[in-house]
Order: sequence, then C-alpha cells, then structure tokens
Amino acid sequence: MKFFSLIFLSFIISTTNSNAVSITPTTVFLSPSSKVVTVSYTNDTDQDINLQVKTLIWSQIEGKNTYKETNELIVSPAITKVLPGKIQNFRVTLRQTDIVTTEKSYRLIIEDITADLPNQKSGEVKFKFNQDLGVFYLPKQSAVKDVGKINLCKITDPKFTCLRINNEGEKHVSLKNILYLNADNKMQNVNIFGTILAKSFQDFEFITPVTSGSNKTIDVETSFGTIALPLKN
Amino acid sequence: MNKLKKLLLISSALLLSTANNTFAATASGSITASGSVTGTCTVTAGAMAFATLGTAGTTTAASTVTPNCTVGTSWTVTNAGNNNYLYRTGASNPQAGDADTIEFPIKLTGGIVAFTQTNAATGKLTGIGTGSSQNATPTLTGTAESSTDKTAGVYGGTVTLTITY
Repeated sequence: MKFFSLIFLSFIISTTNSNAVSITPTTVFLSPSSKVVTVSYTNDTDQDINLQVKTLIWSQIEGKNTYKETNELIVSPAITKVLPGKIQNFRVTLRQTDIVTTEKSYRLIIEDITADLPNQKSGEVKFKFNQDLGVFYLPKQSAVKDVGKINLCKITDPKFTCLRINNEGEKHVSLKNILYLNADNKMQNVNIFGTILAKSFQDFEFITPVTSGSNKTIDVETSFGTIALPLKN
Repeated sequence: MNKLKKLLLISSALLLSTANNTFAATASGSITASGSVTGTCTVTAGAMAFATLGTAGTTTAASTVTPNCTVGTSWTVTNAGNNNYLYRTGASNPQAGDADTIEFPIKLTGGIVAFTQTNAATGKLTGIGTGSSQNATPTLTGTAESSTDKTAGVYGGTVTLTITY
C-alpha cells in the first residue's frame, strides 16, 4: 500500500513540476457572432510568470510577412502575473469592426517578461516562452470558402523546390503539410507549413524530396484540399 | 379516502402513459451537430546544464524543447534574442564582455546553424502536433566561452524562446 502511495505521490510531483506553460486556443477567430474570444494561459511551472501582451497587424506584401504595432485589437489584461499552477484568461476583441469584406489578420504576442530567475544550480540555463498567436476577424457571417492556387516557382538551386500558394480568396488559407512517397515507397513528410493571408501569396522552399521510381509527385495538403503536384524534371 | 386518491393517481398515470404509447407517431429525424477542436499547446524545455565552466576551453550543454500540441497544430520555436549569457549570481549590473558574464551562443545540435533571432528563417525548430509530447529535433547546443578572466562564483542564465502557431 505504502509502495503505491509513493508511486502516486511521485506521479503528482512529476505532474505538478512539469515546468510547462500552455495556451489555448492557438489561433483566435473573431467574427460578428463571436466578438470576444478568451485565450487561456496556464502556468505549470514552479515560478511566478509576468506576462505582457503585444498586438500587431499582420500582412503579406509581395510574399513577405510584415508586422506593424496596432491598437485595433484589444486584449485584457495587457500586463499580468500568473502564479504557479494558475490559469490566466485574456479577453480578445476588436476595438472597431469595420465594414470590410476581406478577413483582417493580426498577431497576438504574449511575452514572458519575468526577470531572470534567481539562479538555480551553477551553470544552469532555464527557458522562458513567448507565445505568438494568429488572430483573424472574418466580417462575413456566411461561410467563406478557402480558395487557393498552387504552382511551382522559379528557384536557382536545383536541390530545392519552390512552391507558390496564391490565395485569391477573402480569408486566409493554410499549407498543412507536404507528403511524398520516398524511394522505399513509404510516405514521408516534408514538415513544411504556413499561412497565406487573404489576397496574398507565399513561397515555400524545401529540399527536393527523393521520390520513389515512378512517382514524381508530391501531395500538398492545404485547407482547400490536397493537391498532387508533379515535381520538376 | 387516501387510498382511493392514491389509486386514482396511479390509474390516471397509467392511462396517460398508455395513451401516449397508443397515439405516439413514429418520427425520425436528424440533429445537426457541429463543433470545432480548439488547438492547445503545452511547451517545456529541459534546463541547459553546463557541468563545469572551465578555463581550459569552451564547455557545451544541450537542451530539448518539448511541445505537446493538438493534432494538426503547427508550431515553430525560435530564439527571441541574438546573444545568450550566463551571469554571476550577486553581480551588480553584469554586462556583456565583463568579468561577471559568460556568453554561450546556441546552435542547432549537429550542425552549424545559429539559433538566433536574426537567423530565425533557418535556425528554428518546427513540427506539427500529434496530440502527445514531441521532442523537437534537432536539440539545442549551447557553447559557453572559456571562463578565463571571469570572477569565481555561481553562474546561471535564462533564454527566452518564442513559440509561433
């Protein structure tokens, strides 16, 4: 009995001392029917964590991500302390919901601004985490479909493949993964992903995969479907 | 009298239930259910422990970042800074390059890729959530400079990482 109690106790200790932080949700979706969204941050470390919120407008100009500080997005509280084992809720909303047709996109950054920890063991380095979340406001009530086009883009280095995803739609689309059959006929994952904002494009470069003899295609998994694309050569 | 009341109540209840059964029309339909899975991520990183900060040369230590994200949630971990330092405990206002500060640049283990903010395009850890803990690969290796000319004492540090979803 004592043995099991010890195991249980050690399990509890290991769980509570996980030294982890959690966030939910990882993407915020605002709409006329969901004007306020709650983001929950959990402190499972054994230290107080001081947090500060920063909001940015997110756009993609000529394929490049650009960020600009904004006060269009309201997040409350803006600064807070989260005690060990506690959860902090952040309420996220837009200051003004403009009459726009295209989705608006932002980044919400929850920075860990805790002063460096009073030091532990000699030579020990601990890690803190900032959380960087996408926030989207889709003004249309009705469902808007994900629309995108995929093409191979030019690249000078033949070892690499470049994929351009052009989003002509009014909301963001996602590149979820790229899969291919390797030389051993096993499905492999390129482990590449990204977000393409409304009316924008993004280029994704990756080492050209070595596919199985006859199969010279890759499967591009996106939020608008999976598209088989022939590789060059 | 009470018995009679009870009997009446029971009989009417019985009658009602029977009546319901008798006249109930068989109907079928469907309920539209919808919902969405909210992405959740938990992240932790093992402490980077430099065993001995010697004067003979550099010292290395490694650390693994472990995200645990909902299936399909993509994550990227980058360094929020460009320089990482160990500071002597108790030193007043330690600064880069002084006797109370030891620099430890971080690289992706097994390669030459610097894990810094300015090199975030390539110096990063990425993955897609599987619903369980994933040890991000590669791991991170810090290389502490030699402690020659540094003040004797206990040194420690903190590194801030950014996890982007």
